[in-house]
Amino acid sequence: MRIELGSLSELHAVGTRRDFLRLVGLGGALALLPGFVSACASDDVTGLPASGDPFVIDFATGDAAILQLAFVLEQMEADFYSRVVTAFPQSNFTTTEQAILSDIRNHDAIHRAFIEAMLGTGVAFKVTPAYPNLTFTDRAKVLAFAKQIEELGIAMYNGVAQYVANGATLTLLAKIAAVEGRHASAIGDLLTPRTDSFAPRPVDDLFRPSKVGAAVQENLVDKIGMVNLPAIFLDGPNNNG
Amino acid sequence: MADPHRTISMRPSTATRVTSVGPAEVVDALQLLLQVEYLQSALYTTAVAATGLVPATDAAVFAKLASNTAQPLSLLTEALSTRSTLPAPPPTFDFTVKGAFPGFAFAADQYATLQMLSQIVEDFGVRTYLGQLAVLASDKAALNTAQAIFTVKGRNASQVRRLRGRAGWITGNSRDDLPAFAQAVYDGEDNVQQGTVNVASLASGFGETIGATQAFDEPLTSAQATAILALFVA
Repeated sequence: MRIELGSLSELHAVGTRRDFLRLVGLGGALALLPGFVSACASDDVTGLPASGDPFVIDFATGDAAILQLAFVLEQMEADFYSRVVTAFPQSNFTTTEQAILSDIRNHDAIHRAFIEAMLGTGVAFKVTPAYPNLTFTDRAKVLAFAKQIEELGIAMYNGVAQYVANGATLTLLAKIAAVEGRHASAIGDLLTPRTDSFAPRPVDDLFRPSKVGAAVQENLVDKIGMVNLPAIFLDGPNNNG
Repeated sequence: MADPHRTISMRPSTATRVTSVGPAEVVDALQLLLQVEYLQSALYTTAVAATGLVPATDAAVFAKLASNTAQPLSLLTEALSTRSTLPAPPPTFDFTVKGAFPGFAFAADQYATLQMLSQIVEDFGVRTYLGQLAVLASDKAALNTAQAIFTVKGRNASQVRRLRGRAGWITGNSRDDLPAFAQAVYDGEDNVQQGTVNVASLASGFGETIGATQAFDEPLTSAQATAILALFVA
């Protein structure tokens, strides 16, 4: 079953999980992600994860769906690092670290804007991140979350490459992925300097889109759903997609 | 640059899935990436074996750089073999780079030069892989292999740059303090036209043009990458 974006207003009107399921239907390749509608008590900044409006990424739209997924990740990264930078006056980062994190914030903000431009402002779905139990003034917690989100971004970009139909788009997304690798390395090295933390493994992960969605739901107020997922996902060398 | 050999591999395939002979462009791409792996592996393997070269503070990093080359080497070698192609052998490398680093011999007081070489080969590696991904797109298994190795190149590049007190990302087309021959590794990195979007125009408050050039790496063509590789071949 294909969900048309034209019915997004219907999705926004949905209030309950049962209504949502009825709307989406039980046929089609709908991935209901763990924690999809389960609210949890937390002291998050912007709202409870999965407590907001649902949005659905329809993979029958091809590269647009891939860009939409990338846009979700880049929105999260840009928002996260922006909050980190805003908290600098109260946090315990060194000035050197602040410069690094400011650069990463800049890059991810540019990535976010770029992908939105590729999608088209009217089409691009804006999400609201949530950060349960994260204190932006706490260096250790910030770096731990940064590492998670960088690793997830890399696994997302690597995993979707096999689905990108347009060669130019494949290269453009890879240009971003390379820089995410640079970011992940810097974060790893800030956590445990001059160790193997910059590149713990010889090859990086490839995650299927539904795995990315499940991971990212923990930090999204919006309820993320995916339909018409590709029937086949070819695993990468780490065989953990 | 080695020719792709259209011979059937003489050893029994250990792959779980044997594919047919790949299209020439896929095979050529894999051969090029294999040369990049040979280059990096030779540099790091020699470096960690050289007594007193890498200071103790950085030893874990270079040990990881060296050990991380093994799996990419075997993945690319196998990718070629399962596409009925003989992997080109490694050349003999000249890490003086035709005299650009005169007297470099992995000696104990030459760590600064090793660091420069590391930055060059890693930024080079990122851009070379980036230039081949679209070529591999028709072969999903090869694409996945390359993509998984490629983002680690980004990690490596960032780390070796930061060990030198540089930012982990490339600014404009700057080669920092590297010798002139390395400019070829950085030409084009100042690009801000990403598809139909000028990303410098999106970067106000986010580093402006500098941030825009840092936020995207740029591909090297096969010809550009091959020419740079040739500088390292004895």
